Amino acid sequence: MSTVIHNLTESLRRSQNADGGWGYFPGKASRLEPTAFAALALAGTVDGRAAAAVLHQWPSTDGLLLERPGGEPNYGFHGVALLAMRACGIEHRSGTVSLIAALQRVKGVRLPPSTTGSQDNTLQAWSWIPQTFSWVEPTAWCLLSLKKWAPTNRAVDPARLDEAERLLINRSCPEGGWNYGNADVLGKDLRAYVPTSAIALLALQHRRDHPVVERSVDYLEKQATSERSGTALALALLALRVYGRRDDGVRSALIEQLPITMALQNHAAIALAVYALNSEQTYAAFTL
Amino acid sequence: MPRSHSDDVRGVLARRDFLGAMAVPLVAAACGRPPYDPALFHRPSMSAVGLFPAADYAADFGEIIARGLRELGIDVRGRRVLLKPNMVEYESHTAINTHPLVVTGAALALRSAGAADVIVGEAPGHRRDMEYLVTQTGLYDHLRENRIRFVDLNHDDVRYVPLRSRFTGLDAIALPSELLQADFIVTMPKLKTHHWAGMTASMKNLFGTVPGAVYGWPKNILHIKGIENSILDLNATIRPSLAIVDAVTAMEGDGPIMGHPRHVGFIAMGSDIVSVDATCARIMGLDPVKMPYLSTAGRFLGNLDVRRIQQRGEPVSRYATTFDVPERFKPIRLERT
Repeated sequence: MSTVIHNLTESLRRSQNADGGWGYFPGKASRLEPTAFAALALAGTVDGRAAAAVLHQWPSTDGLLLERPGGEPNYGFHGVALLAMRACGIEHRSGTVSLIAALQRVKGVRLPPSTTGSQDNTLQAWSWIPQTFSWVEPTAWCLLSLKKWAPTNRAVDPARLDEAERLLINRSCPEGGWNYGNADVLGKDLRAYVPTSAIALLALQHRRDHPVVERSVDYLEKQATSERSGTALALALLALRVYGRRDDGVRSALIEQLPITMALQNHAAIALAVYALNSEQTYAAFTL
Repeated sequence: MPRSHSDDVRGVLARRDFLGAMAVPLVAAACGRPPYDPALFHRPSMSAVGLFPAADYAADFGEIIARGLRELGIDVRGRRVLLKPNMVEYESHTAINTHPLVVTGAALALRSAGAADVIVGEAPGHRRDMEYLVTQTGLYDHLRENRIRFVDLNHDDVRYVPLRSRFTGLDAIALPSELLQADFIVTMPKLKTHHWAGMTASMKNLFGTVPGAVYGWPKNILHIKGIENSILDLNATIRPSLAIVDAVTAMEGDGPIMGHPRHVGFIAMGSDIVSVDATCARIMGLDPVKMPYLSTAGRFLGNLDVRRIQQRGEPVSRYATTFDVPERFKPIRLERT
């Protein structure tokens, strides 16, 4: 196992860009999401400190981190970066309070009552990008990161957390878990996906006695290995660990999947796998 | 700095509540003047579309597509080719995605025909976990075996490029660098019905070139601006060089995900994307003239009129059938004589 972790970590280290960040793939420009996950995976090492320093300096506009230097904000990745900063014990140069405040100022849009599904369109949490609808993944990352910062930061608004939780509960699929968007469309139930379900469960770990959460943890435990990818398996492993569920099969499935994850070279996926498989990790970054 | 797409967002809609997609007017119809410069577009006097039999996925797609390249006179020598399949979601026993063997066959045929480089790229609109899709569909194994590089267009570097038409009202769009570096783009859709657009084939497939890391998932900007408008702007700007349509097993009913497999048994090919889609529509029993984006595309991007389409391979009549379509698209069914 240590060899596997070592190889993965080395692969991640070698792919760091000259500016200190990580692109999604080798030779590509630095982006916020892979840089944040790499900082998380390498936390406590020399490279991790360098990555954290890059996050500290990451360009922002009006308190919102840009998806790429010169690009636009992406709220989901802003949430991931806040989570990584918390885990690395760093603040952004503009002050984390301003990042939290900016994230809380933005909302997914409110729509008229749905004509195609059962979801409550009045609930507003987070979209990926400005002026669009709230989706499960950006909402879950933002909710989790704000909950991580809440104990030490009074800027976190409980009302936003509450509405985001209600949105996730509202969007859950009938059999448990979460699709990327809605639970049904045009009268047909949609099926849950493993990665979105894992992220949503991480964000809802304070609500583990809620029937939707209970149903969704059961779903994840049953379906965790049904989606073969480094990202899906790493996120499932993290969520099951946090909920104290069985994960041996997921761990071995992730190890089995690693050659493909490594071959496809997505640094965000590799970093998540490094973090999830590192036995020295207590998963503190994802635990509330 | 390029104008941010968020500056252009005037409406807000969830994809699933986008029942009004067909109601978003095409700009050409709304203002009376076409939202493009006709001098920038050349519509050929005749376009060739080839229909080549493939009874099932045990067929030799390298050979079938090589035959298509020869019969259509397509020269790819020295070109940097990007194959853009349609990979949306994985469900076993369905016909959602372009079959991996068709993708691999195309790559091998294009290599043999002298392409300098052939890569495969996709940016799914629902799933952002590309590793899951390529693993689960089996595409990864075929690409690895044949040493074909795959690029995740959702997470590639991006560059803003000006749009060559203004149906959406946007000035520019961010596109993946791997797509922009290719000089021969092949759109490789699965032939399907589509519950918002009627049908999805070569033209609609270009939605999967728009980077999710910039626009989010499911790329709301394209729906906000109107699916039909977005199809036209993307095709006018990207200008694919070739379409190779997987119509071996197509999808009918509630496509593009929840429909049912429909065996048809051919590969369609052509360098006029509009002609290829119009031919496929006719085979499905849909009238391309009654599909707003196709009929508009027929005015400047390619040929829609059957008299301007030269058939190669098998005749349309061999495959012509009637696909089951959502109720709202029944009025656009072809009146067969």
